[in-house]
Amino acid sequence: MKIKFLDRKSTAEKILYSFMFVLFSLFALSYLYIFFWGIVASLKTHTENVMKPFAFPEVPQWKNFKEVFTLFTPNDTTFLEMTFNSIFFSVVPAAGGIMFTAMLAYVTTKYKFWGSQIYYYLSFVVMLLPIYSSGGAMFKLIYNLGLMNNYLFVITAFGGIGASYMYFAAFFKNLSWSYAEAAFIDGANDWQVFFRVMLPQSMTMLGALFLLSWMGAWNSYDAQLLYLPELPTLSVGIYLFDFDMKYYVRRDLLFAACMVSSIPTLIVFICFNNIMMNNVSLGGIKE
Amino acid sequence: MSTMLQAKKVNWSRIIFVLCFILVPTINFLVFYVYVNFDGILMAFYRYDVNYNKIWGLDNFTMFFDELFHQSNGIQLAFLNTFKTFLIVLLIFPWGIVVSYFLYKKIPLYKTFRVLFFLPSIINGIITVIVYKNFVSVEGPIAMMVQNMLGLPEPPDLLGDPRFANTFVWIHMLWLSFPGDMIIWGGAFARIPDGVIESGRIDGASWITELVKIILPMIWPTFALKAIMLISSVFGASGAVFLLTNGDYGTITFSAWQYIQIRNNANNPNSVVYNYVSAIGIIVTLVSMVLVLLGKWAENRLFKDVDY
Repeated sequence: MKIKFLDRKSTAEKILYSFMFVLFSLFALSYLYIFFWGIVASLKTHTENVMKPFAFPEVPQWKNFKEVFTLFTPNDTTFLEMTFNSIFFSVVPAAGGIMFTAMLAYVTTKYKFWGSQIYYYLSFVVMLLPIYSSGGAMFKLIYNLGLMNNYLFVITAFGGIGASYMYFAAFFKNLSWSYAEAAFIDGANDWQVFFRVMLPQSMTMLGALFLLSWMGAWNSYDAQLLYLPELPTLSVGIYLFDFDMKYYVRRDLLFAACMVSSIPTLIVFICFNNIMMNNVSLGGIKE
Repeated sequence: MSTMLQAKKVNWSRIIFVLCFILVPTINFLVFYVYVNFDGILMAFYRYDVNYNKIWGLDNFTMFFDELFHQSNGIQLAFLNTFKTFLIVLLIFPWGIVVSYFLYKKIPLYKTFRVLFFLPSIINGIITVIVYKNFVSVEGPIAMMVQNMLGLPEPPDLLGDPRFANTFVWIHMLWLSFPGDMIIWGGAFARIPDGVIESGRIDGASWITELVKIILPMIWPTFALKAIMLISSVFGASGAVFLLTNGDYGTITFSAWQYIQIRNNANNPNSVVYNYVSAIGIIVTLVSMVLVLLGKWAENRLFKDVDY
């Protein structure tokens, strides 16, 4: 039960909260302004964007959003092809990566076998110790395996050892085995127990981690720029359009492409922000 | 006897089940982590001659130390900028806890703030960079402000002028990092029992006492883990240098330098640049390994008695 007077604040705290409120508001508005400015810029002509970057459009250029689909073609890749690449290179690695991690965490926490604990320690090391010498070797390997500009590049994401493993391992460790035992008594096999009994219980966390991973992959550009320049995603396409053609680029198309490419992440975030923000925790509470 | 034999009978279906679950992640780890890092170590110790024959030795390392200490070039600057950026990251770290604390304490409109503060994570970094570049461009309001403040003859190119470029890369980083790691801290705070906080308030704890003496010890495992992860990432500290300036105008950092080196030589996978990058990477990894161990030692040593 809440005690009412606890919610009362001293004058100093009221000043502090007011200050923080103003500060929070300023930053929140500045983040909103990114969208506002982007939408306004995407409705202007190229000349308006160059000459008056902070003015409103004289006549809103809705055609920019239509032209994105025909004229926004960095590396001769169409917008629809880039959209497909974005979907493929974000959904498949995120789904595969999270699923393999959940499966690995489940068997290594619930089935005791030689070496089952090593995955925990490996994840800990991977998480805590970034190795800075692997960039060149990774590039060589991807090149030699023929994964450059190849849809099979997604297999690099089908790992399972690292930070996400820790989340799943903590979850499955705390999940009672009695659910599985009941299912085994009813005649279920190991596969059925995992997919029908244990995995569904981790759905909220699995969903949160999938969405976070998907958003990261959707917006990612560095690995794609290095390994998949001929299969550009929307992020890479926007980069190539803006950064590699700095002085010739049609700014109106660029901003329209930016706005269109943000729509999927925005929609997903609006629909699922509670799931994403409330179901991930790291490290636990000291008892 | 038959029961014993039955008990010892190998459960092949279970073995296959376990193998199926561990096989892909294990192979992936062996190929894309173990092999890659092993090859990275090997690469550091050889170079290619003109006929693409491997010449083993410590040339890559001597070249690195020579460039680091005797020549004024990019790598010195990259490390210097990395350390400066890391100092900013160190400031952002506790600030993130403070932001999450006020959200946890339900500052007015906290739900709206929580959603809006997550926007930088969902907006493509390239888009925020394009918008930011327009703000700080010569035609933008900020360049004009700087011009007036410093009495310059014309608005400066804030990302294209070595006098200002680093500062404005850091401002971009501070701007977008303001909310800190909201998900992690929010998740940790949410698990603190309400009663603990309420009893602290009854005893007259101020907000800072509550945060430092009640909340922080309660979320200590999370804090310690994040702190160690922060220390280990010292050489990865970098703003959006690649997108904002491509490492030009004195803004290069170590991770941006590595990325640019690899990208610039992408048409030649046997380039000696990769070997040089690997050698520097090994040294940097060793240093960060020592830092992590020191951090872990300090955590165990200094904070052993913190308890609630």
